Amino acid sequence: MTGLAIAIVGLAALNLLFAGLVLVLRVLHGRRASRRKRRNEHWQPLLIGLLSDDSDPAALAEQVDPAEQRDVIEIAWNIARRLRGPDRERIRAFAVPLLDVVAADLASGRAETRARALQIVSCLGDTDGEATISTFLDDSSPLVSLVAARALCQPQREQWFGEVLLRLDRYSSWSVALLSSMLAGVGVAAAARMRTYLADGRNPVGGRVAVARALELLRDPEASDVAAAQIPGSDPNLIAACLRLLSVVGRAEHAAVVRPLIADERFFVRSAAIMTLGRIGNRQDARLIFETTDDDSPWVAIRSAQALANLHASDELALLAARGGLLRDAAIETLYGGAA
Amino acid sequence: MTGALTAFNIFIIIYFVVLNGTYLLLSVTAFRSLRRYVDRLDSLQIDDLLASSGGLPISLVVPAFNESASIVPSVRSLLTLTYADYEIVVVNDGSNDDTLRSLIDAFDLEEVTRVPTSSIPCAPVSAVYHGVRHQNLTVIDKANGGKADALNAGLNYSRSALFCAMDADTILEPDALARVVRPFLEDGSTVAVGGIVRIANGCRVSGGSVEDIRLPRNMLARFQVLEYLRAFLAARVGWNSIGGTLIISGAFGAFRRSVVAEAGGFDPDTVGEDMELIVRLHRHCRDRGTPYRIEFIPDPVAWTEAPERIAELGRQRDRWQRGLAQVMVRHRKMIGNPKYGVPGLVALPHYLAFEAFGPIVELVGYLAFALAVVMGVASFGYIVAFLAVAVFLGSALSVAAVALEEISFRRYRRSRDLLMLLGTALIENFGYRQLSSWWRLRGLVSAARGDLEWGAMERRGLEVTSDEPNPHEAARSSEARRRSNAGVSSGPAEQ
Repeated sequence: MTGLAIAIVGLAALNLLFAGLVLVLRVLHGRRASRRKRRNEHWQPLLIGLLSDDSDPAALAEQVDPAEQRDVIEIAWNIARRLRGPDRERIRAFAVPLLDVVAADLASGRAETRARALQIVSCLGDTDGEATISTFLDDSSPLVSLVAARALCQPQREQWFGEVLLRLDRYSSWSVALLSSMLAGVGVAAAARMRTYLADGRNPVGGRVAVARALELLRDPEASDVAAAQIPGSDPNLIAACLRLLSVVGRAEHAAVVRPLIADERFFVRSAAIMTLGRIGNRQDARLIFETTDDDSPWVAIRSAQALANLHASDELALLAARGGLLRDAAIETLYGGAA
Repeated sequence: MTGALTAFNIFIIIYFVVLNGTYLLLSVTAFRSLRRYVDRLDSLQIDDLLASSGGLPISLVVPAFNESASIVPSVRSLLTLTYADYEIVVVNDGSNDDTLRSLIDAFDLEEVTRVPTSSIPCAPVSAVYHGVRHQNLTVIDKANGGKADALNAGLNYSRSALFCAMDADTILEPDALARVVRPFLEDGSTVAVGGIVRIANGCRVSGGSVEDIRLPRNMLARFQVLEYLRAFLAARVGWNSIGGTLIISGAFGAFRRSVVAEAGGFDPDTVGEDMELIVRLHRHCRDRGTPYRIEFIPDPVAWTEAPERIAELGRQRDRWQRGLAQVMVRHRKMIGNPKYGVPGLVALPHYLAFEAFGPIVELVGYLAFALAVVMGVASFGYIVAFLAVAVFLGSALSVAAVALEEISFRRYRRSRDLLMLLGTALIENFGYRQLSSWWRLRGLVSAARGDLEWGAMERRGLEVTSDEPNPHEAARSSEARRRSNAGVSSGPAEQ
């Protein structure tokens, strides 16, 4: 009976504990929210004022009470991350003397805390902080590493780009879309290094695919020869990425390397090759596409019709429509914008 | 006889303790996971992440059956989502009202030829329409085949690498797509992501979005708010933290299109097509040795209307239970099979023992308890222990779910609502839980009979403040129909 009583009291206590927790959390959150609101109402106008007057940011920083330092840094960060150039520099000049409270979080055992601190430091820290950020590329947490890489892939931090490239293999689990847009974020200044990376067969395929996509986003004209050179005998994903790159920056002389691929056994390679040939090919290629296209892949059918339209091959497109099935629908979709 | 009854009663108490104890454990796991998750969201700055990556194109597939009263405002609401690259594919699933005509008129649609990009079997498609003014709007008109069939048709005609399955009457928060896409960006092996479904009853809806969040006045809807919190914030977050996500609600889930198409799309021969797909995706990927991730994340929010009448709620729960039973039977080879990792070894056995068979044990337990009391064989200690386990442990789970909401998203800002939630956590154990077990037991019986009825749900309508038409304003009675999508997806299976 004693055990039973203890169990019942324990369960009742558990309920009370949870309910108490809910109420305490509500009170704490309410207090925190009103404190932040108060600080926000005080500091946000002052910080925005920094952007339009000649006041000294450092002098304003001295007015920050140590108790409110963390909240003020958050407010500054929220403003600064939406700014560029001299405006951001003004907010940064204000924040640098206050960053010690956040910098301490960089050594936190919790990955989320480190990542958040890194975001703030990368936005508000001075240039000396870039070396610190780069050390987090090797952080044991993928989240922290991702934040560090994104922080370094900025046009003004182009000198650190090599460090990120060196670790591309580490980021193989990320989506190619995210990785490539991050790399492209550095801008054309990094294109040469990306071309070198793409050309080097010793680099991991995933990294080279992402780099090819980044060069495509940058529409780097000099990448076309490199892309064409990678195609023979490569991994199919890399071939498809290089074909996509060629479809954007390729020239007529690259068509020779693309033509054989329109009959490739893998549909995504065929599809990319047809799309590319539609952009860089000629009238003979239109005939080739028409003759080769007899495909059960809808993607290939759509790309074929689009390629023929790009090559102004209206006769072939009309003949394609006459074949019926997927090809007919793809041709009508392309010819009439889908109107039946 | 007395000895057997006593032994059975002891078994029932142990069962209750293990059942509720498991969920308490999941709640504790969820507590830790949610805190980390909220911090992670803070550290990622999702708007920056998506702005820099450009997002991934996604197709919203919206099955619609006899939704003429609500489909136009629903689509209008979807057209206002804050996401860079998305298309809306509405599938008119053989409606016999004006659903198609109202879409054509409202959005100036023209009939087009569109190449399907996959060939998952579905009922015949009679026409495809495209928006003249809204280039990202496509409407598929097809013969009736049920929700799963309509989703398959939408999948066949969608063009994006990702698609989002939802109900026609679901309200997505403006940033819901951006949030649900994030795991796909962070991990290229992600194949499915589910967001949280919250109950919109009692909330104020304006311009197709939920403006003011309040607890519903209707007690039945309030019980469901608590159930959804328990299911999504405790159970699903908990399961997700150990890689055991088995359900992504059909009201709001995003998928990698190619993998779903490869796995055969949604199964039209089940009423729990959402759970069935997730279990099949686990099976598909593990059978092929393909690395994959299936995630539940609690920050992308979809709002749905919960039934406020006992009969409708009963039919809904009956259907959910049938869906669960069908999944268990269909994928029985996975249960306890080490080849299927956490889903096979932990999650499925748990669902079988506590979710599928739970109602039987619970109801028989209540009967045995009553019998023991009547026969005078129940000791005072036993009676107290039974009530303590059934009431205190059950309410502890609900209060823990409210605590989880409070440490994470705090959607119910009014303190009055919070207190009401806590009160509801206690009183739901007296009647509502038992009723819920009864509906689920009925669902098991229907499953044994092979019933594929969806049941009907009458929409009461949400509170609207603007002059715009409300997606939910028409209190409409949809007739009970065989294999039709009643606009109510499988919700929380976890009780």
